Amino acid sequence: MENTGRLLNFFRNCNQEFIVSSLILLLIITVAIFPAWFTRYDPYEQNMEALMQPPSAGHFFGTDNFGRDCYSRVIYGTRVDLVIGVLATAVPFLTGVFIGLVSGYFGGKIDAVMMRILDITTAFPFTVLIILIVSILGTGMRNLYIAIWLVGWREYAKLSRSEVLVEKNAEYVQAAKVLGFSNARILFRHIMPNVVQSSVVYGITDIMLCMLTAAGMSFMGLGVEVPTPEWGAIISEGRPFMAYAWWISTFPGIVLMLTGITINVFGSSVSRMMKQMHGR
Amino acid sequence: MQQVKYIFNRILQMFPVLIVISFIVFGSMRLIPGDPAVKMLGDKATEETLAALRAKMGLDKPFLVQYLYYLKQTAKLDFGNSIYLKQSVLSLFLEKSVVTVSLTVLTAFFSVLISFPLGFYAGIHGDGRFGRLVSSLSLIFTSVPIFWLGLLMLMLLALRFPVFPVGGWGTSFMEHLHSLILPSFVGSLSTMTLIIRNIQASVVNVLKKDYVDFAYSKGLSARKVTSGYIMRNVLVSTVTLLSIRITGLLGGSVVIESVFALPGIGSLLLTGVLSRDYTLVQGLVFLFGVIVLVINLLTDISYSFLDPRVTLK
Amino acid sequence: MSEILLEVKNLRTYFKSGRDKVYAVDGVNFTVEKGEVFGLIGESGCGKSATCRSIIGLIHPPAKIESGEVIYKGRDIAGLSGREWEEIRGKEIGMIFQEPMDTLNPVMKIKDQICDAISDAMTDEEKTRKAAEILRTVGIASPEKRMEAFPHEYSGGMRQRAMIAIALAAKPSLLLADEPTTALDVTIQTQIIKLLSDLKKAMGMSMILVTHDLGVAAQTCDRVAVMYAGNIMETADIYTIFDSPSHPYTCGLMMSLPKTGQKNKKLTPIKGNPPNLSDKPKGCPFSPRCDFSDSLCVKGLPEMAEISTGHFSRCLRPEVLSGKAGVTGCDSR
Repeated sequence: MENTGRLLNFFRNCNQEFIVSSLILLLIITVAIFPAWFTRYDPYEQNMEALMQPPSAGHFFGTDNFGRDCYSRVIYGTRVDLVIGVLATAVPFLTGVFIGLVSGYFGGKIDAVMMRILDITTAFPFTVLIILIVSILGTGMRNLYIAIWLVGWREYAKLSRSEVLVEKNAEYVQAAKVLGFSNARILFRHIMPNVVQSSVVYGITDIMLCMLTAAGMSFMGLGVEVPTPEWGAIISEGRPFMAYAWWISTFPGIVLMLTGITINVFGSSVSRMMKQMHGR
Repeated sequence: MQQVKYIFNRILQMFPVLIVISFIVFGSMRLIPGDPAVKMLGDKATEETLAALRAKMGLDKPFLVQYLYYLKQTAKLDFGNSIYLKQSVLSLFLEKSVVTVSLTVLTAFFSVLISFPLGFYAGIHGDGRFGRLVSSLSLIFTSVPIFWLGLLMLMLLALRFPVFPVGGWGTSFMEHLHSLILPSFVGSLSTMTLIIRNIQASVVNVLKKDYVDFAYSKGLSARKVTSGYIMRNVLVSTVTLLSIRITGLLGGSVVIESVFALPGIGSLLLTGVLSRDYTLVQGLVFLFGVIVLVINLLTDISYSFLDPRVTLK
Repeated sequence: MSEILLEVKNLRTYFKSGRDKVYAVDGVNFTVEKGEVFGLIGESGCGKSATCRSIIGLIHPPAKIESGEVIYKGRDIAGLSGREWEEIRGKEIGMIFQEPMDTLNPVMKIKDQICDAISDAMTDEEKTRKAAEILRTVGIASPEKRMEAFPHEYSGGMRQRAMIAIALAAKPSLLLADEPTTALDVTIQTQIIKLLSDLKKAMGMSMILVTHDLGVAAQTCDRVAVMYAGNIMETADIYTIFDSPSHPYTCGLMMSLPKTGQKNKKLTPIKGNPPNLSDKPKGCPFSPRCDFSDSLCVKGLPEMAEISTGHFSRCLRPEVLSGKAGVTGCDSR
């Protein structure tokens, strides 16, 4: 009963932006899972007879300096970029929320140490820190992940910590304590559902930010290895030819931007719905 | 007097943080497997020079002794020599910082110049057509890959219509300025939209405050209320954002400098990473940390001038 | 009868909520005489503040003055331009607000906030001297030193005094005081009320005092109007209102007020809740909560009827209350 009520409430709060952005997002995810449905070319297949052809009915986005079909490289790149966005967000989300919850709830020494670590890491610009870690570990996608994981938790920890500090004095928490529930149960079963929302909203936008960061790193040669069809890497590949083959770099950028806008709109519509449902 | 004391105290407080930063930088460089002496001098170094450096750095000694040696060198502002560029890291940094500092200042200048009037307009005139335009633009500019936009601009405004140079830094002041316009404009876009939104929200918030109505009820002109009452209160909330963004801009300079082939610290860092020049990376990352600390200090000081409620302790 | 300073005629102010217009002030008429303290009394949300703000032209979109006249010294000032308001505000009509912390600019010294309000014809030195003088009048000791401070360095009572000083800096003839004591401690409330009365006498100005506190009104006002849901329900001089209230709502307000000298008497709250302005009851807005209402009351909004000289009530049957003498009329419920 309660669930149907919630579902009804959910649909009542659906706004136009949410519907449109989630439909586009669904399309992007479908492309990522089944890229072959959307193109007949292999993204790696070189065709020396069709080098750097401008966009046409046969090659929507033209071909590159190896005669590869740019459209199918962008299509296959969807999976690479989406996986990067989700993986690079999921791990910091989990660790960051966990750290924030624990250090906010228990306070004291744990909290003091956590906050000092936060202060120190914020002394470095995000990009510089990522570059430092990549330079230690060496370039490549796996190391880029590790770098983002090591840096990305900061925001989630800050967000969830500040909410726990408010929430831990709420009456239901006091009640749970009086009932003798364990700290772990109070923290993860009672407090977490109430404080995780802002992190979820930030996380959705963070997917976009991580995609942009990773694409930028690949663009500078610090990300994916060469033939991988990643959007940032494709843009970088087209760079030497931009004077006469504009299409190689232009299209992946447009697709990256549109994906980013979609995720952004989705995130803000979700946050608005959450606010409405809580009557805030 | 109170302010001087405060600034002095803050500078004193910076030292422990600097030590921690140096420890992180040094320690993380030691995480890299391999012989540090070989890494610092390069593969072509002879056995004698390697041995000499090992002895000098005390590589046979415990980690802490090595760190203390590094700390001593850092205190003397000696960050060693770049392996790849065969030059002192500090002199490289100082030489390239002109480019990065000019880029950052110009970028911040562009963002502020454009975003302040637009933000105020949007805030005062409410969520009309202009407000919607601003929020759609900021949506686009936060989702756009900056390096790609830079390339696009180059394609259009340097190759197709050669208004700006394709890259590089030039030799004269006018050439420097000319080559910085496009990169700083592209770099300012995301910051600009952030500040516009921030100012807009902040203006809307301040306009609701009784002190604005009270100022009007005194018979002040709209101009006086805007400059003395609305703007000053809006500024307070914007300064913090601006400082966070300047830190971000410094990081972003790596990308922008790479796109526009500007010989700044960002490009230098990238060169260091790609050529596995650890001395260079180690020194630059530490110096980046120092710059951020100084910017944060400047923010706090300017904050205390703008907002009397912030007490200097 | 003395000279009329301000006359409000048929004032209607609405704010937009979605597509609907919600009338916070729904046809209000009253006059303020020179040297008089006129009280606007009512529960929160009845339109007293909106009335006040309409008089001084501080109604912002989505709220708007729809119609009506505000005649100040013989001139209709409703709908003046921004430039014209600069000549009226501060110099002719001043205003003080409820919450002094929100009303003072947090990033400006008290001195500068006072000097702002003083005419530009003076030199900075003269302004500073004048500012100190005004602060001393409102009871701030060693003003030369204190005025260099920022609002957050003042206590609550001092902020209220500073705010009064700023509002009176240009010597207005009419002061609008919107709940000036609500945010203060009771002891400081009394001081501020006394200060306002003293200043009013000393400067010979008139005052409109907006309050929900009948006690404050009784101490200060010469005449009061009781507002309910955007309408004035009853208006009379302060003694008449307390002696022989002639509107059930006024009675209700008095019944819910504790009185000295009456032991073992229960306080009777008014039943029900104030109406939602976007869904106002038909006819007399008080009828759903009124013990005496009948079908006639919901037909249309009753006109103001003169009960005795200067005593008006918007009730069809004021005699059910005033038929019996004094407050006992209320007790008959």
